[in-house]
Amino acid sequence: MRISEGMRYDMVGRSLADLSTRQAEVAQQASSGQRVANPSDDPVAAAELTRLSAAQAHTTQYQKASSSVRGDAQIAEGVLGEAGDSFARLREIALQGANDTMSADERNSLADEVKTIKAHLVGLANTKGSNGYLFGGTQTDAAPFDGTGAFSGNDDAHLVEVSQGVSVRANPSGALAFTAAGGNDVFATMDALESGLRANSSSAVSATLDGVEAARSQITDARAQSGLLTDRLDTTDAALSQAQTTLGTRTIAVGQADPYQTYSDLTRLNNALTQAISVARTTLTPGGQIG
Amino acid sequence: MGLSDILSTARDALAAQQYGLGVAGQNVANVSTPGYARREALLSTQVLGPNGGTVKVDGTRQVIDQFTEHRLYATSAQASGADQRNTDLASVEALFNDGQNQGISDSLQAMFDSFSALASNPTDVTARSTALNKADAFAQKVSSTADSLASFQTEELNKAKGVAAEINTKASGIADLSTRITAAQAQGQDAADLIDQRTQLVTGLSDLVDVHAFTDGQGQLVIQSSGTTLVEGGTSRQLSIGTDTDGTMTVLASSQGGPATDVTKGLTGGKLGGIRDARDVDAKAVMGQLDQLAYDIGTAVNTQHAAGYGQDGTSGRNLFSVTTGVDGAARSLALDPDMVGNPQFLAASGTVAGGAGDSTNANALAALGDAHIAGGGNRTAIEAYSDIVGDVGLRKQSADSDSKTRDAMKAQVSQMRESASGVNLDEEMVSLTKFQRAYEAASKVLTTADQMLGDLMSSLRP
Repeated sequence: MRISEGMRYDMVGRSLADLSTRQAEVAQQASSGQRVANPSDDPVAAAELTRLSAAQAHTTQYQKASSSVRGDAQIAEGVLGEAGDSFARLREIALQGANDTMSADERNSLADEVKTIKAHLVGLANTKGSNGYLFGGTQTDAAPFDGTGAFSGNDDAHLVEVSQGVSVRANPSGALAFTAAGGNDVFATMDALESGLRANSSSAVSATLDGVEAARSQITDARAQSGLLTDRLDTTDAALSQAQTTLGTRTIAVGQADPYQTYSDLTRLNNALTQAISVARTTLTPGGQIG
Repeated sequence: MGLSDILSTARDALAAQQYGLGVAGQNVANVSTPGYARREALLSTQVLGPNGGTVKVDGTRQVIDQFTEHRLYATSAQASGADQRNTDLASVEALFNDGQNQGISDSLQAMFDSFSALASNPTDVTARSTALNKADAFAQKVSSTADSLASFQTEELNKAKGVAAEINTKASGIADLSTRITAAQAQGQDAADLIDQRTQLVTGLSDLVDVHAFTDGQGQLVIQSSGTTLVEGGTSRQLSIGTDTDGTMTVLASSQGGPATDVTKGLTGGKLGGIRDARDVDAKAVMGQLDQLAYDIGTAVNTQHAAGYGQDGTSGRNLFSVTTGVDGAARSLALDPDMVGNPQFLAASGTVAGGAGDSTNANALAALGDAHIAGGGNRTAIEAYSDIVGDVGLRKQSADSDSKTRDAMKAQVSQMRESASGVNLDEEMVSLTKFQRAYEAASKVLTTADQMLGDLMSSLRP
């Protein structure tokens, strides 16, 4: 083949341009640490990275939701624990009041204590969580219990998705914990105890003992439910943070440049470029011509 | 042969070698002139007449391989077309570069996540405003991406108009040169420089549009492109760019005052072809997918939103304003005017009687993020979007590799052309030396003959 000057320069220029383009690409990978800077670098990986990044954001949202549900569950657990403690005292009062040796005055002062405890318990049942009143079902904007302990809320569940396809009830059931829907109307039981004491009737007080015991176990059950929810959230949280780690690992595997590979590529291309430049210098020196 | 005949032979020889030196000099001078085809001095022996046996100059010959030359036009049209498409697609790709946080996916996911947050806290004012803001941000991101795609298409159209104007200038320049070449050759003049100029113009033209060049029966240069004859001898046709009713770019060819023919379909390469491909094949397809996605998400969210109740107990509200058809859905996607500034209208509740804490419908809205609402009911919103990212990436990648292949092919043909027509300085050095030596020898003949004549004259002196 006949070689003209144009070809000589063209060949050298082309191979230098080619090498420096590749060198620039690898240098960009090495400095950014990203293998996929543009979708065209690896379309399949780019599409997967898009889904991965969305899945990560999604998992973060689940974690936030879970933490908000956990907050409410902890509040409920505390409130119901305190209510259970109050009932331990109510049981003592009922046992004392049922004793025949008690005077009317003593019973009256016990009745006053019951009244105070009831007022405190109504206050507890009207506790607010992250989302308004905690025990009123979906009626979160108005107190579910009035001063007498009458319930105006509902038992509708507030479901929150805390993991893919896993929804938990975020609002503890006030209806089941405090009202007849759970088997025993807690506040009515307290009213009966108070009026038995005021009537100075040991038999009437003794008749409420079963009710007090039932109300106490009802509240303890409700508390256990909240405890179970917290346990369940522990499991989902562990799964979520595991998922987050897996997604992160996958993102790195798909999108990041292998540092060793990049470094060795870069070194190789740098050497190739240096060599090509010195070859070009030799090829293009006018010494090639006669004269 | 007499002594005076030797003198005239030497004279012809001196002239011929000088001519040869001149031609070699021209070649050396034009070593880096693009499109220059090297020349050879044509010398022959004078056979007839009193000067029989001396040398005569027949002019110069351009060393051109017509086949390679025409092949070069075709390959460079393809190469520049592929390069143009590849370069232009970079701006489309940038719109979907989610790796650099420039795409839609972040805002899309943020919207569904804000629905989840709303489901967790349906009464929270901040959660409501956030959900409305995120929905608005998503709609804006989609419509601004679609706007950028549309303005890309407009820019491409303007670029195509510029290229067409350039094509027209070159085509009429070629026709003009063809006329002058024919005239020069008819008068027996050397038209090599004009031919070089014309070759340059044709090479330039082949960057802009596909070029099929050949010489017809009358020796006229004919250039066909886009399936029409652009230049035939001294006449040329003009291209004009317009748009179809659906916005597709059209290329019309017309001779002066004549009717125009639509040659869009025949367009296969050159910058014009590359622009057409990037605009009406790639960008159009991407826009179609984006429209479909915006339409799918918009209608699915609207249907679910309309099923729920706002804090005012009203249902049937749309969250987004969506076009009735898929066409243009992405560009016009926006929050429904009724919803703007009214986060309390967000339909989080599932029933009209539902308490303030009812989040059934917010849960259903959030669940749309994981539902197969796009891609013909087979893909989730984010999957369908990632499909667009993948498709854009594939288009750019194939444009890139196509451009590299075409460029390599062009380089190969260009080497063949250079190999045949390019100047080699070593060769020119040899031919310079050859003509120089011959010139020296001829002048030696002249001095020798002159000396002999002198000797003769002095011996005849009394």
